[in-house]
Amino acid sequence: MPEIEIDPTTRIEGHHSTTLQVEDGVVTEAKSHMDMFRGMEMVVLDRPPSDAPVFTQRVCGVCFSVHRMCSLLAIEDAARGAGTFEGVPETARQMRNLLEKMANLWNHAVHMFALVGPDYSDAVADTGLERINPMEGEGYKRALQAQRKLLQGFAEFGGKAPHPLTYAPGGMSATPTAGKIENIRDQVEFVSEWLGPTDAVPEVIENVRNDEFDASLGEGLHDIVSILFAAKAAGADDFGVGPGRYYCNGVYPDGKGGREIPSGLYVDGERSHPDKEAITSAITESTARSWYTDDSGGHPMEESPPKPDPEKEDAYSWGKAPRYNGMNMEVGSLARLIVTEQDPFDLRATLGGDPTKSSTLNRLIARAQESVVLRDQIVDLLDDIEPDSTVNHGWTDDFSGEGVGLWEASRGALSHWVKIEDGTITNYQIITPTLWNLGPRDENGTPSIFEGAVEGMEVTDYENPINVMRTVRSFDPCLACSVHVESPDGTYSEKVTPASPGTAAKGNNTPFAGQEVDEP
Amino acid sequence: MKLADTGRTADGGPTTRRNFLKLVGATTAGSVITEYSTEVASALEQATDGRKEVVWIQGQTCSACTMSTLQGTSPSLEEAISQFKLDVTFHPELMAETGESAIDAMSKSPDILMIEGAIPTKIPSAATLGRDENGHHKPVLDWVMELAPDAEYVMGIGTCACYGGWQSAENGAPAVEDFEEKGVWMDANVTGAKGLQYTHRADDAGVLGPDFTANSGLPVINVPGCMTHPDYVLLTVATLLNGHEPDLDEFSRPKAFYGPLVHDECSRRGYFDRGEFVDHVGDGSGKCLYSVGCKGPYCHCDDSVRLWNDGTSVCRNVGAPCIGCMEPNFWDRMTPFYEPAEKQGLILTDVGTAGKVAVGATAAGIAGHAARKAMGYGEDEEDETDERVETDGCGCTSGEDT
Repeated sequence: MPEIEIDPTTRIEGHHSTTLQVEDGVVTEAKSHMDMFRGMEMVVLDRPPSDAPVFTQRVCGVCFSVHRMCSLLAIEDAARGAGTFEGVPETARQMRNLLEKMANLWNHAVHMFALVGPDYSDAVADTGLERINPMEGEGYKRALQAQRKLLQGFAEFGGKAPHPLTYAPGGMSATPTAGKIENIRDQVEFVSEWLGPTDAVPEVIENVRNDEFDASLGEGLHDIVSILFAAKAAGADDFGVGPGRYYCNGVYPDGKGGREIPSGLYVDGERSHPDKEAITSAITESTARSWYTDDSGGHPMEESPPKPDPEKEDAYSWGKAPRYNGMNMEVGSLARLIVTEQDPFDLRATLGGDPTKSSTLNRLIARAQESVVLRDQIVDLLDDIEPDSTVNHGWTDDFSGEGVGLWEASRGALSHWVKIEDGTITNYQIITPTLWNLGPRDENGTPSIFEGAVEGMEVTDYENPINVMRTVRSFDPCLACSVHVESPDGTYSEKVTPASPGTAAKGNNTPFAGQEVDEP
Repeated sequence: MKLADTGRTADGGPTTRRNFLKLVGATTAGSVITEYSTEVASALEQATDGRKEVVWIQGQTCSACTMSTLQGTSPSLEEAISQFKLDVTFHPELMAETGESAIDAMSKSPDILMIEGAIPTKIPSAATLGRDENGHHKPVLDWVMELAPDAEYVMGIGTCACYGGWQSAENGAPAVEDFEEKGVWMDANVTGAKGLQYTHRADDAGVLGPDFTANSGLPVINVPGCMTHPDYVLLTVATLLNGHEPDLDEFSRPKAFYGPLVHDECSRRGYFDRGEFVDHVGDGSGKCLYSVGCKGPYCHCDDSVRLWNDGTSVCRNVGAPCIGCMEPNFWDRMTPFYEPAEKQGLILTDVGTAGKVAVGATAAGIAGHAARKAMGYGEDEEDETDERVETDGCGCTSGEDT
């Protein structure tokens, strides 16, 4: 078995860290720390609403499109309520959907190959999967190339990526010329060829099962399915298990008043599809264990700006704890597929063992399933966009009102909340998917999804701690994370990061996560 | 590495070549590929005595500068690492080393120290990395102060590291909230976010101070942008590895990249000179975006020609006004983003006047200078080696005074 034993602890952390208390080889308590505070919800105040999407986009350079999109939805919602805005033109809706789907697919590709993939590579875990070895494996390098091509396609409308500027209040700024559409199609075709045809999935599954490789059916598919099989072999269907409560905001407006993926909840085995009002009235944030004053929490529309209190007793995170009717909820690809009752190729039912189970493996499968579905939709959407059609009827900041943007980042439910008085922002709140999945405890001591999923997990004397890392990564947290284990028997610490171009290229002898190392 | 492989030669080649040659101080004529290969070879040769150790640390960051660097194609990051013989001993997102090995792997006297993100000084715990000897979260501020003096070169990657970024933009809460308790939430800069040698404020310098120089004798070399351009990062590294000192402007930016004015090389420039402006964002007219807030006349970088994502596009080419993201304090100086600049007190004339003044000029270059004069944001730039204090767009007379 691969193992790491790093003792004594060197306590390293990125912007996120986790402390695990371990007794008798079992995690008894997990604390998820977010280690960075920047103050976006304060900086964006006292500015015109049209500036909010440009500012809040900079919350994340990985989710660079979704924050801008969600912020636009919030201010457009407010403007619609105020009667100064009637909605974006049809072509703008299509372009937004196209770019958001491309960004989502890009995210999944980067995540599957750069973040999660190495956990199951030969270099890291002796799995025999040399193709996905960081930087050196053929599969890894092809994926790196594919993600570049995808962003080059994105930039045709976006101007640049990350941080594209084309999403504008009222619609888009880019004119969808035939030439740009063709260029996007070229890049998407490159990526599509790398991934492989959707209807080849069953055959690829058989190939991987039989240790065969047919590049004509898609290198990407083979590598992704290989990762899933390696995860299954590692027992990932049975660890990192959450409560199985899911929440999704819905995403991709369908032009008929609904969304292609509708909003949804999955609680106690029951699906429901709450409307916007139900969702927005159900959400609260707790700062009981956050480095903010206690009165910084509450309903997002009424909350005060986050007032930092870095010395607060018992606090352990710069993140707040969002709750849905008081419940912690899992968000992400798995949530989206469960609330919409989708299980493409029955992968979660067969490989995952149960399509609705909250497990580390199912989170990986869901991301793979979404990737194939998204690719197909992107190809179709390119045919729908009418060249040179209207993308924006104009916009004014001169209004008062409240608005909420409900959206889905690749890693889950995202919401932006705004209050505007006479053209000036007077309140702004952002609730990210990583807060839902990896936030701190609330005032009742209820842990976040990740904290709960790790508690009770076996960490048998650090012999196989890679499964803790695999679980953190399965949530695709948008942070550089680290895990820190404390137990009566000693300590263990590991940086949870994407793979290293540097490590492989320079060929040094520092171990990968999970690599067997000698006692120091 | 062949530049031809990047597909850039057709549209972005000449500029890449000119600036790269300028950067490395080469003057001989030759094809792009030959010159570029020669310089890469030279970098390799110089590095044969050992790999060049790089440490990349993140402060208050969104990671877009890392993601942007991953999009580089001439060279790509992995090409740069292998061909420039870089040893990336620490990068919180891109490295795979674990635990003790990760800190051990980090060079404590790197050849190049790269900082991405702002440095919080008032609440140092607002960005931490690892633990100190007492087991407490170790502020990124401490890491920077420890590592920078022992680094051969220090680079500020992106606007946040260079000047403080949006974290240090004006906190709007006091203006719209009626706080009962007083606290840091009343402050203009809540976390005290700063850049390495510059800040957004006239009376304040960055965490390393205005007089800091790395072991090379150079100040922090800034490659700003929100996000930065991968070429700016990797070609500056190539330049340094070749032993060349890039010419720097008053904000310590390599002039080869940050000398040009976005406005001068803009694909819509002809419309500006004719006084033809868009009606609203996304109106499809393809005309000049000045009327909807374009800050191209105040923003210095060569992306109008270099373009982004392997020469694909740039903000103006998709109808998006420039937000001035290469400049200090653009978050406060260039906002509201969709308002024409004269409404922000940046200049003394209006759109119509600016356009009409320019219309009479015959050559584009002359028109540019005429327009700049007319708009009151610049003397004629006869000598681009002069300090460009007059073009920073705020009417300020000093680089520090922003």
